[in-house]
Amino acid sequence: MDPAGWLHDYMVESHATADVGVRNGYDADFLVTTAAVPVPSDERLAVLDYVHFSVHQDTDRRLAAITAVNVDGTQLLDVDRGDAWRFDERLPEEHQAGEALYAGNDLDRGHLVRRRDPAWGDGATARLANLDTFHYTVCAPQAAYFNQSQELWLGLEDHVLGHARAAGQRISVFTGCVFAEDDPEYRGEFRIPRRFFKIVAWNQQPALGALASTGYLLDQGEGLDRILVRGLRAGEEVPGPGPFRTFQVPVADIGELTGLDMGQLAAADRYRVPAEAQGERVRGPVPRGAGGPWGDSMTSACETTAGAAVPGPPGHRRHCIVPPYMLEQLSRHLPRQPEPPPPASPFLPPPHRPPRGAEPGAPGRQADAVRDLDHQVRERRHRGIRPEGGVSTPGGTLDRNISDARGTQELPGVVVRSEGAPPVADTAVNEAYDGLGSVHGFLTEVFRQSSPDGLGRELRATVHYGHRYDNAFWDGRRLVFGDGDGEVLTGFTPSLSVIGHELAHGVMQYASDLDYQGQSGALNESFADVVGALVDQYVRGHTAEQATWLIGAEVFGAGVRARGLRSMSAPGTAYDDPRLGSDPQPEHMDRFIVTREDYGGVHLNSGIPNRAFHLAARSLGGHAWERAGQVWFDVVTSQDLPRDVDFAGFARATVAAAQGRFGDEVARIVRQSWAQVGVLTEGASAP
Amino acid sequence: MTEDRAISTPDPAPGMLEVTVSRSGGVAGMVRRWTARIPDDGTPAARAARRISGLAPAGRPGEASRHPDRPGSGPSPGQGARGRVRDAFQWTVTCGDGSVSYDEDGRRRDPDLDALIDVITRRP
Repeated sequence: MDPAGWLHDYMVESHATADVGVRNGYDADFLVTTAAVPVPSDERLAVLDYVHFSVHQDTDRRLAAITAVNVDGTQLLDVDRGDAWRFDERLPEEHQAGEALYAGNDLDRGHLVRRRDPAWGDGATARLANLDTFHYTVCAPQAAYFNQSQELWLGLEDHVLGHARAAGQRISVFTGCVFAEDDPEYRGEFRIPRRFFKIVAWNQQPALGALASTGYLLDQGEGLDRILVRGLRAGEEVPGPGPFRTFQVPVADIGELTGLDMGQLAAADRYRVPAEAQGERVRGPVPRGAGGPWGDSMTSACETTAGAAVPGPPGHRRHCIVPPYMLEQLSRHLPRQPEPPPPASPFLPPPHRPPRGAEPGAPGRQADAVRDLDHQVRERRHRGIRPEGGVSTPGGTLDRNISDARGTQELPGVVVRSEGAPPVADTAVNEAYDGLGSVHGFLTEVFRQSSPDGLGRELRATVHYGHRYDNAFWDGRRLVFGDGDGEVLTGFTPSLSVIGHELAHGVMQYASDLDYQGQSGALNESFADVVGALVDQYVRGHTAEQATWLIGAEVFGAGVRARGLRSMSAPGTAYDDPRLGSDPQPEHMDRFIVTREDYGGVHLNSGIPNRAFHLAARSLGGHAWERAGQVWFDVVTSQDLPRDVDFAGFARATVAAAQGRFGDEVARIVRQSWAQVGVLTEGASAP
Repeated sequence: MTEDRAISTPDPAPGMLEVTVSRSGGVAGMVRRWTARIPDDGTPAARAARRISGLAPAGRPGEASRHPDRPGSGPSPGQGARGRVRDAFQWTVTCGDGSVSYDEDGRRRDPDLDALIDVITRRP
């Protein structure tokens, strides 16, 4: 559409809607929450109201610092796009960025207010809203791949709008540029922001008017430089989006980066940093039930293309190698850890993020801090800590399905909560749902495997199996949880390590499928414990040194003298109670148990490989999933392991895997760990 | 290496059957044992106990069951878990010189045995 045609349409639509006063801009009362939700802004910014949205323009940078739009999912209309951009006559052109910025390059005019977001209401209003989004004030320069990628900006926008439409929900969306002092200059008069943010707000509990929000930070990355320097044109090599460009982040952090006071948007943030990362101590799993339509928890794990999982709108695929809460934890904890020697060490060096409150209003420093963190993540990836290939899930779609056996032993029971549904009144259901999300997030992010079969299929669980049934098991297709006897064992769903353990049996089933008998059975059990422990540590952000190494610490009733079902660090010491007896697990081959029970003592002799894993992880240091966990996972999923492998055969396989992935030193430590439990001989030269 | 200890109890009175039920496995991996005497009165539980008492002792790990295909028979010791279930309970029922092992499915498929385990494990 040519500018003249646009102007004609604009005038027509303006005339058609003039009487209803629809160009009132963003409505702070739109969500009907207990308090209005004003646009985070400051007095330096010029405010421009449009139909259903407002722009707060930084006239120095000539771009919007923040935009705010009301979206009514019940009234959205599809209107013709139009494609003619124009200056807003209410603002001098030198305070806006027009074709002088966008012509003759591969920079898109990226809508900060998505064109379709304000297009709701009657037809004339929707059409005018659509046209309003074609003011230069509403867009920002974005690398084409970034703006158009379903995995990046467009993907997030699609998901936000799609959810509002599907749920018939009102939402408000705040989007803007993250201006930094070192943003690259362009054509002598512009500076291009590298990062953008988006905050979604909604009414979490309409009856109570409870505001909720989630924030995202998107980075158009290094590919921008190539466009700016070379003027990359269509047909030339387009830089890839890179593996980790989108994070869900605390809204408060967006406030720090932008210098805008996020106020109640930050207070309503559904993102939760694990309590341990905040210097608090909690008993039991890290809170996982933040709830809400944009992801029920920190670890409910919406999907990412690269297989990562971060919280947020369920099902949205985003890039994220290290989840933001992990970065947050790293930023808080790593400075207390010794600096590893570059370049071989897989550990992230201490980030240089300034402490909260330091140098307020110094966005350059803050941007530096985030960039440092990102750099560390990239370095981490380049060092091969995470598997680059072998992605075994097509996108890693999270699809949970929880059923209730209602006290019977009939499976699967009645479906009581499916993916995306809000929490129910039954705690066990929600715990199973959240726990599956956590395990899925861990497996996807760390090992690139989002489901037992690696095909991203439905994760199923049944709760309330049997009457006072004191067990949890994997039945070949689903996790099944009894409620426990109510006295000694009080239920299994509170334990993330148990949930991880059971789902790991599924992973094993579709991988090496070790015989469930004798030593191979004990290795089967041990691998399940390894995964269970790692998931728990991952969610808590614990290093190998910080971790408890307990499986099922949360399943016992009051007064039971038990720390857990098993201790991986000290097998045989998890419990000693008159009702339970004492923990019989051996910690060394000298005390290997020969028995007819428990399928040849699979839950007993697993103490030996469990301890070997713990010793390896502790000796290697850092997070156990990074090296020891990776080695164990490599072995189990290698397809080379005989189903009846014994301890020694498995041990040799781990040494070989460690050698192949990490080199001599890690292989030596793994061998040494097996030697300490009497499985291998220390010092042998070959695996 | 060590070996789990055998259970030794006095001979049952005439007309009574002494039954020991051992439950092992489960995610907890804990072993529980119940021993009780039941009347040999032709009830389903008694029928199961009588049937078991006529069997050979369960084999050592690595040995095959003498009755692997008996209806209701679960995994015999040495054969590991049948099917895909993991962390299932393993039930071992001993009566006289006979002994059988079952997984949960095997127990459910054998109503008499299920009744016997119920009777034994629900006694104080």
